[in-house]
Amino acid sequence: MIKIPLLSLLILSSCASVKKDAPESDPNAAFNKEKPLKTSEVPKYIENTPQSVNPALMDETTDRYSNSELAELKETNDPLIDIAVKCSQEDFKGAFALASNSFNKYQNIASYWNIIGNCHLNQGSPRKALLFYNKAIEVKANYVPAMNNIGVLYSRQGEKQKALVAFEKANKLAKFSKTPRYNLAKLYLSFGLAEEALVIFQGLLSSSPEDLDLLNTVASCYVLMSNYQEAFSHYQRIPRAQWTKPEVGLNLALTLKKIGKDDEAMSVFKGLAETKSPALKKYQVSIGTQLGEKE
Amino acid sequence: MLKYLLPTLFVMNLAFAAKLTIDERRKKIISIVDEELSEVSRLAKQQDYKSPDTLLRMSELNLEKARLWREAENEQYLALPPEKRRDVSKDDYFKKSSGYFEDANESALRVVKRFPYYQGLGDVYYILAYNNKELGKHDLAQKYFKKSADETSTNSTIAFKSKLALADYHFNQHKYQEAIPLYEASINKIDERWWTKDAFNLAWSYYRVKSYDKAIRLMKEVHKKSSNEKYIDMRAMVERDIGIFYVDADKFNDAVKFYEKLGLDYGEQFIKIASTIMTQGRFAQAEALLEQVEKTHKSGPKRTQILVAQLSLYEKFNKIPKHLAICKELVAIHQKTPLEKSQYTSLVFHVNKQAAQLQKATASDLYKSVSKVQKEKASQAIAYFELSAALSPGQKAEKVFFQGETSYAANDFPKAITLYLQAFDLAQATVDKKIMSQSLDGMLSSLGQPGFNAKAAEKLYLPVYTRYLSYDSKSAKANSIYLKLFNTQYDSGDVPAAEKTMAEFAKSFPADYKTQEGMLAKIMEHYRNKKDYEKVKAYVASINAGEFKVSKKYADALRSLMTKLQIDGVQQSLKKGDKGVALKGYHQIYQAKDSTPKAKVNAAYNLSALYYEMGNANQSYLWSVTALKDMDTKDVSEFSDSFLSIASGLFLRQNFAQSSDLSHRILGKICKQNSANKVVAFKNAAYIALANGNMDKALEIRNFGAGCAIPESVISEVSFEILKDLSKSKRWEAFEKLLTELEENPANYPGLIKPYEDLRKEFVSIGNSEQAAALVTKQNKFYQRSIQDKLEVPVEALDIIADRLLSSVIEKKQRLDQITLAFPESEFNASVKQKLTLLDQLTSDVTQIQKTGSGRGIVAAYKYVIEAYESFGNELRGFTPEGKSPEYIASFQKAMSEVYQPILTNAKKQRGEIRKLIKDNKILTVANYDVLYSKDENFKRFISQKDAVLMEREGKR
Repeated sequence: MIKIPLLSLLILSSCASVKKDAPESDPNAAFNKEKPLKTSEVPKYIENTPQSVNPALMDETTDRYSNSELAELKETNDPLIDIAVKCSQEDFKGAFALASNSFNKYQNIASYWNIIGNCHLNQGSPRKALLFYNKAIEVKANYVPAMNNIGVLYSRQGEKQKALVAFEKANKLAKFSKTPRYNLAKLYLSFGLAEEALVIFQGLLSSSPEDLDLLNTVASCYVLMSNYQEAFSHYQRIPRAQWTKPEVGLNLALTLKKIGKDDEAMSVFKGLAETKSPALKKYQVSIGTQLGEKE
Repeated sequence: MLKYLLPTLFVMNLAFAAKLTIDERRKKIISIVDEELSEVSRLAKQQDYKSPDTLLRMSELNLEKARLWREAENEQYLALPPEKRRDVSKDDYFKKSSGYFEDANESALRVVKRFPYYQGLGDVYYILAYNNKELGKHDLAQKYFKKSADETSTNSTIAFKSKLALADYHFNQHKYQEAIPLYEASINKIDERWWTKDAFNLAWSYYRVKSYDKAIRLMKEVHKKSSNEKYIDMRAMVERDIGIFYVDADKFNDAVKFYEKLGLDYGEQFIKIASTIMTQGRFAQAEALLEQVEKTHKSGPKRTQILVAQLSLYEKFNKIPKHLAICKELVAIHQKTPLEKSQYTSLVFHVNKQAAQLQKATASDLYKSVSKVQKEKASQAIAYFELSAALSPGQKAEKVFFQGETSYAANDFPKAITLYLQAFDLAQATVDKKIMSQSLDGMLSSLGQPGFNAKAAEKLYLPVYTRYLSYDSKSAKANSIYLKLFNTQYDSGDVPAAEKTMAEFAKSFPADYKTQEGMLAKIMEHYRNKKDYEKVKAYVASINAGEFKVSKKYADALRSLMTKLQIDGVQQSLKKGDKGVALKGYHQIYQAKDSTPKAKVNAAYNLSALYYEMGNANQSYLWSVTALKDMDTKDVSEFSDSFLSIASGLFLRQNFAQSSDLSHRILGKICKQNSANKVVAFKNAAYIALANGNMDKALEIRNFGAGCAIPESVISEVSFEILKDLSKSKRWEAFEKLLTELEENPANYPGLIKPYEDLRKEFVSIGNSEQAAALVTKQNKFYQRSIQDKLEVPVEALDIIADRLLSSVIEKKQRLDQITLAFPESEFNASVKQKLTLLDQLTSDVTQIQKTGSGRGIVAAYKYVIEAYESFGNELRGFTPEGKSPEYIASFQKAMSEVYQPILTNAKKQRGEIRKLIKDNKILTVANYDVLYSKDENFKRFISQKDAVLMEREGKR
């Protein structure tokens, strides 16, 4: 029997109230606070999203946005999105300052704590991130974004099996949430489970057929499954400008080779942009070999 | 003869009467008597004692000698000191006279016997009677006086004298009826000096037989004759007694006339009479007599005498009101002009006696059911004690006390207390401790009577208790009196007086915490109700200064009260929602010098809560730290939820270091408490420290928690998290130390396998193969023990164990690959056999790895086994023996196909198995490519620079 890792959630104590004789109402300026918002008063999805080359998950995440797209998002009136954008742009000081200012208003909103968790994760503090994700789950039980993000956290730490459990759980809790499914499929694909990944990616792609990232992943699934024609048909829907990206161009080159378009294959291979990723570099060598490229 | 003799005797009597103590004269008379006696004795002898006259004379002379000697002997006897007189024999002193009496008797009796018809026999009997009277033989004397009277002629002097002697005997024997005729028969026959005395006796005899007129007449005659020197003067006695006769004859006026005629004060006489008849129980007569006299004596010494006499009369007569009135008048007289000593003594006696008797009567059961009489008796007794006090001013305190006692006995408690109070004050002035003490007892007892009207009693509490405490402030009773006085003063609203009493009590009973506490509680409650908090504070200060001793429990309660007072105002602000004011108030309480430590802690705590609410994390943290520092452990435990909330709030506001520190401090405070929050504080402190990258702090907390009875499982959980960070930061020494501690508990073994792998790798990297090998042994041991104990082994640990088993697989695979198939045939067959054996072993190894449950290990193992089977199968399939004929080769390949086909089929089967296993269990390992795809295809990858995607919103669903 294969053993499956378990998620351990750390719950911080915060359930107790302060002493009874502590202030209750607040007529004084020093104690004036914004009234905490209710969950129903906060949008469940990202509004006013900009045009994007990867629009499939745009109502759930800013993580797939390019810098220019993020710059557009910055103009929203949604403080939580503002925090997320700042974090994505690595303006952590600004992000936490904004979070602090939004504390009273958003302290009962799971999304607020989830976004703070994301900031800490992006800042390289996975432990802090985990504590805030747990806070989000405490505020709203089974809060799917936080569950998903815990999966991301594990994934980034290399604990893929734990990440899988988190994504699966998130997916199970919210069958129509796209991001956990996307992450799950990507994880499958990363470990060779192309058929399992393909089903999910195709589902996502059907909703956002122009999503370049999804086109690439679907194509990659077909490459792994040795269905190069199908792969090629998807690559074709990706603008050529994207072909220079190694994570697209390497498998495209292989596909072209496999369907007999050796020259095009070599052309794409040669036109690949340089990558710093050791894994991609290594894979580039493998593909080169397949293309007849000498080291 | 007798005529001669008697004068002689009389002369001798007179001589004696003139106090013939002159021995010479007595000697001369005795000499004369002896001379005649000698002559008469000689003559009697000559007559051969046959002459009765001579014998009678001998008797008379012997009698005379006896009398003379008896006088001398008597003088001699009386001259002896009384003590010596008691020891001597009286007979010895009167021996000589007795001898002569006997001689006289002998002569007289010889006459009586020898001469029964002797004509002078009456005289002889008279001598015998007289002798026996002298000898004290009255019966014989009476007998001979009777014979003498009978034997002598009726008109003879001896007969009258004998009758008088007999009358005296009857009179003295109260035989008045027998005495009267004897007196009457003789009294007027002998007109001699003693007539007045005999007549006086006769008058009394008449009086005794109620012949008052005869008696009065004879008395008047006796009085008249007494003025004559010839007679014994009996006037004084007549004047004394005749009044009684008049009174009994109911002839007051005659009596008054009698006395007035004589120029005597009849009042004085009447008083004497009254006194006399009172002794006879004739009170009504005595009363009438004195009232009669009293009418004519309205003032002056005589009235005093009358009043004094009336005292006895009314006392005997039990006429208390009159007796009391007399006493009052006498006291008034005495106060103007002191009475004579005897009168004063009598008055004092009467007053005190009546007072005592009436008081006794008041207290007796006799009058308990007769309230009216009892009250009357009490009133009278009190009046007597009043007079007694007037007569003896120095004893006034005692007398007033008795008045109080009397009122008490009469159940008149208010009056009793008033009197006791007076008595106490008087006794205090003269320092009469006894009366003071008794008065106080009386007061307290009166106050405690159930029948005492409560309102009336209340008015008396104060004077009574005040006086008691002025007398006794230290006893057990004083203790209770202090309390009663305090309560009285307090209940009457005289709080200052109650406070004074409390202060005095504290001085008298410094160790009686309980009572002091009770008093203090009331006083402080009073001032609290009046909102006079300054006064309350002053008392607390006094208690702190030791002026009042209270138990620790009470002192703590007071401190709580002070705290409450100090906090109350601010609490009001909070209740009104005036949090800004409350914040300021708590700051003031914290800074105030007179704030109790508890108030300060309370203020600090509330400041932390208020700042927390304000969102001022830094201030909230600082005040929490302050509050925790001084707060009792018990209180911290009680408010630990709140402190943890603040700590959590600090975390949520991104104040990680402060949050961790505050949780650590909370843990420090409740470390030894039985609190569920202990674990929460511990975990929060440690995890947040770790999250904040402060491993040292996390370690410190972890080590501290171990001493706080935090469950070992929790300690271990935190320890494993710390290990991760220690490993990442390559702090191997601390890492190893923590591992060593954790491995003390076998329950930690499963979790230790992975960290020890990190350490092992480090040892390998630094070339310490020996330590690395030792750790392998340890890891294997932990794994085996965990399996044995059915403990849950983490996936990473299983992967490590599987990797270890996998090395055997790899080694066998390498050995398999190294075996080259080559002819000659025997060598070929041996190689095939070797490879098949290795394949079997590999298959067996996979089974072992499968048992670990490690997905990564299983996939890897399958990878090697599949490769082994495939490579061997393909090798067999492609093998062509060199130098053999085509037929042989064809035959050989056909034969070999039966060998490699199953091998390749098995490889295919295994690939299917592992594919299914991977897909079913979603095993994520890079080896997946090797088993999911053919050797030609397994180079393909999906590589993305972007990891998983973070999610911010739930999205449109």
